[in-house]
Amino acid sequence: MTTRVLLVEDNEVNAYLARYVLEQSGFVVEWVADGEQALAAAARQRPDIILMDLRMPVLDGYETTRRLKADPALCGVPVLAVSAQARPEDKARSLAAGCAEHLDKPIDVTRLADQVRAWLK
Amino acid sequence: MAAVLAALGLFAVTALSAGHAYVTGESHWSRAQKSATLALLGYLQTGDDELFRRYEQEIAVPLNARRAREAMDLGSAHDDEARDGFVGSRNPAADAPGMIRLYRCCSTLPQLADAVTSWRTADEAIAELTRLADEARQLPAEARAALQPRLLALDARLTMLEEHFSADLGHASRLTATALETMLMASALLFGPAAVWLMLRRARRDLVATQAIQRSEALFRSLWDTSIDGTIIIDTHSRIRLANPALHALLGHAPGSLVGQPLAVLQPEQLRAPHETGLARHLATGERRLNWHGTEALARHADGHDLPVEIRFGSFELDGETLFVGFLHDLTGRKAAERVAAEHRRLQAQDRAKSEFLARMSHELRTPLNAILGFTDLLGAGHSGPVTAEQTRQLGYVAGAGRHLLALINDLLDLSRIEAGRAELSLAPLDVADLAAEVADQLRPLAEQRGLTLATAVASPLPWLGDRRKLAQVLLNLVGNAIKFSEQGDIAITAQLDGDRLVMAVRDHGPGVPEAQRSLLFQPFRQLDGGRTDAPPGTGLGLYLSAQLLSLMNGRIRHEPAEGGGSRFVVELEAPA
Repeated sequence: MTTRVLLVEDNEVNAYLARYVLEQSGFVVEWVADGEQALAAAARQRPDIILMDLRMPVLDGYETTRRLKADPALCGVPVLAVSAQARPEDKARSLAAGCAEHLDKPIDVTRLADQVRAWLK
Repeated sequence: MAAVLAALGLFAVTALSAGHAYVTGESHWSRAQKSATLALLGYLQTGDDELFRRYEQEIAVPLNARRAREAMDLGSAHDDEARDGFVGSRNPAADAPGMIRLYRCCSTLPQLADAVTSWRTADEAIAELTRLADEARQLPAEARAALQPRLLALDARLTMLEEHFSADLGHASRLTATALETMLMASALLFGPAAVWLMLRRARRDLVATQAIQRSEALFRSLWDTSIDGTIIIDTHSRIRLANPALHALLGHAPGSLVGQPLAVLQPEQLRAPHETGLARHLATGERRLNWHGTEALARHADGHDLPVEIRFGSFELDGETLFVGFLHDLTGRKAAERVAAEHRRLQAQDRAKSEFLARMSHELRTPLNAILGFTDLLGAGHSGPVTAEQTRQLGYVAGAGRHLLALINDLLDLSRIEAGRAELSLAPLDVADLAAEVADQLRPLAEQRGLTLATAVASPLPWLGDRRKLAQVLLNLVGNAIKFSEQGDIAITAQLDGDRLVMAVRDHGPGVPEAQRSLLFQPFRQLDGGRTDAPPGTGLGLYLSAQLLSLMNGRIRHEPAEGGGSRFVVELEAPA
């Protein structure tokens, strides 16, 4: 059974890195570059987990997460913040918006797949 | 009998009205001497002949009064002279005969005698005033100003004498009135109840009026003397007529010294001309350009500096003359508070800007590092295809440099948080033995890789209230340094309580710190020579950051050479309050 990951990341190179690592571990990854696209993609097909950048154009990760959590159909999907905003107050803010965990960038490529798997039932 | 009583009654009525005339006359006398003094002061300052004429006109009043008294002392042959004197001192001609009679019959009564003595003494001061005026008239204009202090002193003396004169006269007048009213009562028996009623009503009205004036005077005095704000009364020539104690104190002048001075002495130069213009316009048209209900301005202190004040004006008529009253409220304290508040806002804004800048910087630096470290690790692990030993070594250097950069960013952000006062302690009960073991476990692989043993010697449990993450950060740094600088031997983490304090130490068997470099240990970006080449380079911020973290936790750190070689870093923490 395949696990679908929605990767929300505005930086193309970093998106490629995460996608490569996750696909190597057998996940199916859909990549979008901002919050609006993320909401549309999630509505089109419900992902199993979402990796969310926070600072993004159009709609940032905090607001996108809040909207996902307000949607009865999607509120059960775990959202992991993956962000270069690593101050304690940034973490507190992302958790308050509804993220399940806050992963700092730079990510640890050797652990990312395990960190994602930990949130899957 | 009836005729005697009727005569007595008639006498009493005239005497009462003569007493009243004296009281009125005294108020003309005092006003005229005050005006004369002020006019003369103005003349000394400006040389304006018009002011001297005004002085002569006013001084004539007390001089004429003196003439009247001296004529009365000479006997009834000089009554005409006395009458002229009274008229010349602004008394109605009709009052003069009564005033002369009262003086003749009663001036030797003790109460009246006091008043007459005061009058004579005051006249001596008036004579001195006229001598001073004559002297001024003969001096060249530029030398006249030198007479001012004498005139001001004389004015103060006159004011005091006038008060005595007025008080004595009032007292005498009241006593005489009482005596005369008793006589009137007797004569009133003849003229019937209607006259009694009329007389009593008159006496009562006078008494009520006197009491009202006394009450008003007492009220005015208490307000004037107690006011916390400077209060000033000026005339239409911008001359200070009255100034209360608070104004003298506020602007650093000796009590009473401002009376008679031009308002300009209290104004900064740049306000003088606008004031004169505004006053002239107001007098000509009634227009009020300034907000009379409160205007911020500056007042000149006696020592020359200007202080911020809020001024409120009012005007009133007194004896047909327009006067202005001004209240000066000191704004020095408020201005200082405003400056502090503005500075506080500026610093807060600066602080927010700095914080925002750091957040962005952190984000902008971490984003490319994510790619650098991520792909380096992927390549190094052979995920993207086989790599040679040489390539693995080189990728290791890239990864090492990337991690160093990341450590630097983290340390700098931690430091900037501490310096901005934004680092918060999260205190919770913890077991120091557990903490030491955790740090040792984390670094033991690295130590063993370098042939070193890492041991802890902490009695378990060792309970403490502290910020676990920050304490761990300090210990990790100290043990990391020990590993980096040791070639051999064991590294030990110890901790124990010393009274209320927690003392932790990390001891190594490295080369120790040369005497010359010890003072640099806790300075930022200072690194010791002699670190192992196979250890990752430090950021140069570790000990500095540890010291900062400890001072945040009410603790400190020091270095001491360990017995048998090596270093001992000792951390001491006070129990949180």
